[in-house]
Amino acid sequence: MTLDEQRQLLARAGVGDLSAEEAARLLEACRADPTLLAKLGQLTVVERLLAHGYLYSDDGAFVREVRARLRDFPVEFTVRPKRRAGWPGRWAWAAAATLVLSVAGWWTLRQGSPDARVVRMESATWNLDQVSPQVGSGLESGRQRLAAGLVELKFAHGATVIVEGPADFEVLGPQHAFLHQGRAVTRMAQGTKGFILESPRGRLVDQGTEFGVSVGPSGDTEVHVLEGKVEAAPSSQRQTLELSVHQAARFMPQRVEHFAADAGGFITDLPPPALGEVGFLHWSFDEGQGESSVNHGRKLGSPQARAILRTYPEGASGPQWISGQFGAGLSFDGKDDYVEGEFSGIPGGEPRTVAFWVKVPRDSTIDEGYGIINWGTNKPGLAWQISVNPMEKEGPLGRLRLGVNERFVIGTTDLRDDRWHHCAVVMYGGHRPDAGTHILLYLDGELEPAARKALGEIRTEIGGDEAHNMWLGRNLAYRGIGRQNGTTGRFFRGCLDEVFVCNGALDQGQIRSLMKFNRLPAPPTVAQTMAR
Amino acid sequence: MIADKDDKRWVLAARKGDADAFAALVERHHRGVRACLVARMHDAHEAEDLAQDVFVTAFRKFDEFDPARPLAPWLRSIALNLLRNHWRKFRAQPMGGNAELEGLLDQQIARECGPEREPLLYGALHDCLERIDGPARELLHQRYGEEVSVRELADRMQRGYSALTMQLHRLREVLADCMGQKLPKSDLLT
Repeated sequence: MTLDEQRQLLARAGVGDLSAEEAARLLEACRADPTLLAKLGQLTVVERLLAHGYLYSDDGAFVREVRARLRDFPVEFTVRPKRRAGWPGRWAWAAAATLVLSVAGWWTLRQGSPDARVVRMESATWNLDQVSPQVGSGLESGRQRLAAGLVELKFAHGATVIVEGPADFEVLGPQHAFLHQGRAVTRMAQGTKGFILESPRGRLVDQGTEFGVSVGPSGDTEVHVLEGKVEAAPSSQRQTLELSVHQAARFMPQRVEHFAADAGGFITDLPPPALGEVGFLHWSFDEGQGESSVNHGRKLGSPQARAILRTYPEGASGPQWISGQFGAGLSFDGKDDYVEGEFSGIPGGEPRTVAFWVKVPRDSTIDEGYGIINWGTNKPGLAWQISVNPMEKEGPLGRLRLGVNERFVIGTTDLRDDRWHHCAVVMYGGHRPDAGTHILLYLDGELEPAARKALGEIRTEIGGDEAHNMWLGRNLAYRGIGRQNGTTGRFFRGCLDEVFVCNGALDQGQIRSLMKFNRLPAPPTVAQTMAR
Repeated sequence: MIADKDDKRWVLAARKGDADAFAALVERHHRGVRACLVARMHDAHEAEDLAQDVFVTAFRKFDEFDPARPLAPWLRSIALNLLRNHWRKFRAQPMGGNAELEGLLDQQIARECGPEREPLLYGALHDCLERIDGPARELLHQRYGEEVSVRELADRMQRGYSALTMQLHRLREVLADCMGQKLPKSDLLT
C-alpha cells in the first residue's frame, strides 16, 4: 500500500466513512506495519478528544452535573453498607443505613422474600450506577432506573407489571409500586385485585384489570384502561374517580382531562423465548454476479430456495451487484428492479423475525420506500410488508415500517442517510397477535422505539389467489400492469444485503449476532431453555 | 500534577458525607477520568455520561476505598470497569464494520494511552488548538462544536467531500504532532 493510499484510508477512518472493503485493507496494512497502527491510534484519540472537548468544554458544568446526580442517590448510598471486616467505620455506616431504610426496605428484609421478582427481560439495559437485576432476581428497595428495553415484574400478591424503558420506578411492597417516570402496564392475576401504582400526580388502584400508565418528565400522568376498571385518586382532586375499559385520563397539577384509551400505545406482553433451534432462510447475495442467490439457511422452506433477480416488466437490467455489508449485496433502482424469493412466507400469526442490512439514499422519495421485503395478501391484516415509511399521514417519513395493510408500526430513526443499517422486525406469536402490541423493531442492534402504531390483528395470508412468493424491492400492492395501474411507490430504491427470515421471535442477543457476525448463535441447550 | 496529600484531606471529609469535599475531588480528577474514557469510546456523549457514572459510583463505594492509597488509580479502575460493562451492552458499530480492526485499535490505544498521560491530554490539546486560527479553526468549530457532518460542511462551503476529509485529516495530524511535543515520554502522540 502506498503512503498516499494510507493517508486516504486514515482520512476516511477519521470521518467514520470506511467501507467494509477499505476497513479490511486497513486492517491488513496495520498488521504489517506497526507504525501505521500507531498513527491510526494517535489520530483516533485526537479525533475523539476534539469531538468531546468542543462539546463539553465547561468543566464547571461537569462538576455541577455530578453533584446534581449525587443528590438523587442518598438512599442508595447509605442502605448498602459493605459487610467488610476490619474497617472501624463500617458499623457507623450500618447504623446510618438502619435509620434511613424505607418502610419498603424493612418489609423486604423482614419477609426474607422479595416483594417483586424480574420474570423476563428483553433488551433491558439499566443505568450503570445501580446493580443490574437479572431474570429471577428479586428487586432491591430503592429507585430502579431502566435505561432501555422491557422488563416484566411479578409482584408477590399477584400483579404483573411490564415496564418499558426509559423508566424510573420503585417497588414499595408486595402489591405497591411507584412509577416516577416512564411507561408501564399492570395486569392482575385472575380473581385478585388491589394492586396500587402511585405516580407524582396520584394513585391508581387496580380492580382486577389491565391498565397502562405513562408518567412524563414533569410528573404528569396518563392512565389508559385496557380491561376492567381502575380506581384513581388524582392528587389534584379530593374525590376518587372510576375509569372503565377504553377510558383514559391525564392527571396534571390542577386538573384532570378525560379522553379515549390508546390500547396500542403500550407493550402488553414480552416475546416468549424461542424453544429449540430456530429455522431460517438466509440469502447473503455474496455471489456478486449472476441471476440468483442461494439459500444458506436451514430448517425453513426449501434448502434450494433461491432469491431470483427480476424486473417488472421483464427485459430490463434488474438489481445490480454491489459491495455489501458482508461480501456482496444488491442495489435496487426504484423503477423496475426486484427479487423474488422461492418462499411463500410465514403464515397466520406464527412468530417470525426478518433481519437484513439496508442502505437508503438521502434523496429517497415517498415513491421509493415501499416493499423492502414482503409476502402475503394485500388485504387488512393479511399482508406482511417491511418498508421505509412513505406515508407522512401515518408517521414520520423514512423510518423503518412494518405494515400489514391498515395496521402498522413505524420507528423513530430516519434511515435516509446513505449508510448501511441493520434492521430486524420481530413478531412474537400467541393468541391474536396484534401489530400494536406484538411487534418489536430493532435498528443497529438496539430496540427501536415506535413513533406511531395502528392496532389490528395480524393474520398473514399466504395461500390465497392474490398471494405470491416473497418479494424484495417491490411493493406488495403492485401486482402488475392492468391490475393496479394506480399503485404508487411500486419499487424500492436502495441497497440490501444479508436477508434472514426466521420462524421464531429472536431476542436482542440473537439479532446482535446477526448484525456483528452474520450468523445466529448456537441454539440453547435444553437445560438453558428450561432455565429461562 | 495531582497532590495526593490534599486528596487525602478531601477524601476523609467526603467519606463523612461532605458533598463539597467530594466536589473538590471531582474538580481535581475529572480531566483524567474523562480523557481515559473519551480516548476509548466512539461517542462523546456516552463518554461524558460514563465519566459522570464513575464519580457517582465512587461516591457510593467510598467505604471500599483505602484513604492511604492514591485516588486517581482507583477512579481509573472504576472507569475501566464501567467501560467494560458498557461495551458488553452497547458495543458501537466497529470502524468500517470490521471488528478485528476495532479490536486492534482498542489494544493500541490501551497500550499507549496510560494513566500518566491521560490527565494531561486535554491541556495539551487546548494549547495546540491555540496555534490554529483562521479558516482552519472555523472549520474545526463547525465540525466539532456544531457537530456538522462532513457532507453538510462540503455543501455549505461548496467544496469537495474528499478534499474536506483530507483537510480535517491534516489538521488532526498537526494536532497529534503538537501534542506529542507537549506530552513527555509519549509513544502515542509523537
